[in-house]
Amino acid sequence: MATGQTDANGNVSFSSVTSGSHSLTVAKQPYNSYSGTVNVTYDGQRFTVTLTMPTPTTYTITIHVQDEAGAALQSATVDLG
Amino acid sequence: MPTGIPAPQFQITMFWVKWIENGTVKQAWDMLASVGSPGHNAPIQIPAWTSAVGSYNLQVEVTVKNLTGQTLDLKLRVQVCPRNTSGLPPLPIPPCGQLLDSPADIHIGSGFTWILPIWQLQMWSESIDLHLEVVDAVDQTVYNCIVPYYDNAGYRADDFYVPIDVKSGPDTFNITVHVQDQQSVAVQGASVNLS
Repeated sequence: MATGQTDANGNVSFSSVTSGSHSLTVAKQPYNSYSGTVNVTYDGQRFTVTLTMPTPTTYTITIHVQDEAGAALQSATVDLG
Repeated sequence: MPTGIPAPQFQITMFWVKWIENGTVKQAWDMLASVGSPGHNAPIQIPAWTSAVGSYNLQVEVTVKNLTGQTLDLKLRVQVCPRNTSGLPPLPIPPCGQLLDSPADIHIGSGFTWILPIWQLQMWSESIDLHLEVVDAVDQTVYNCIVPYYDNAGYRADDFYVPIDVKSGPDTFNITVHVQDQQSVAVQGASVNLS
């Protein structure tokens, strides 16, 4: 296994890679990790990996406000940070 | 034949490669490919001129032609990789397609046809690389493909014969992995593992 980190231009080079199929994984926060296969067939070959951002998960919630007796409070101001 | 080049053992004739959009053949290429030696293999680059984002099919038929009488049990393997050759502002380039194998019973004189889906070719200026390998179905030796002749003038590919050199072992190459985000901005500090 060969490991490297990309430079300022997003490139990392590997030498003495045998021809054929290789597994390629790329990780960088906060992007989604990439896992795939590359087929090395000639010298100087260049592979481009596009990292995607995770899709934020959103939910619908309800805040119920009541007094100590359990009676609903109308017109209470609710702030959700 | 130049001194030192082994006699050809077998040749792959790529009769045609067809670019198909919505079932219509938009363009076809005649090509001649042969099994390559280290340092000489290269992908087949096919110009594309698609003007819109979309999904397209590339139909490939490969026929193996025997030049010496040697019998081999082969399978063929192809992979398509999009490439932006325009120099224009880059768009996200899709990853290479899957490696697709033919059945492992291709014999000299026979061939195989693939329908290769090409995803999201986004610009008229993009090209695709067609990687073609020949695998000895007995010992699994992989022979890479070279393209000594590109017929753009309507000649039949099998009118041309090119000496080939069968490599004896695995090659090693230098490769570069480029990592970018969805806006094609280079990503620095990404951890890349190759195995």
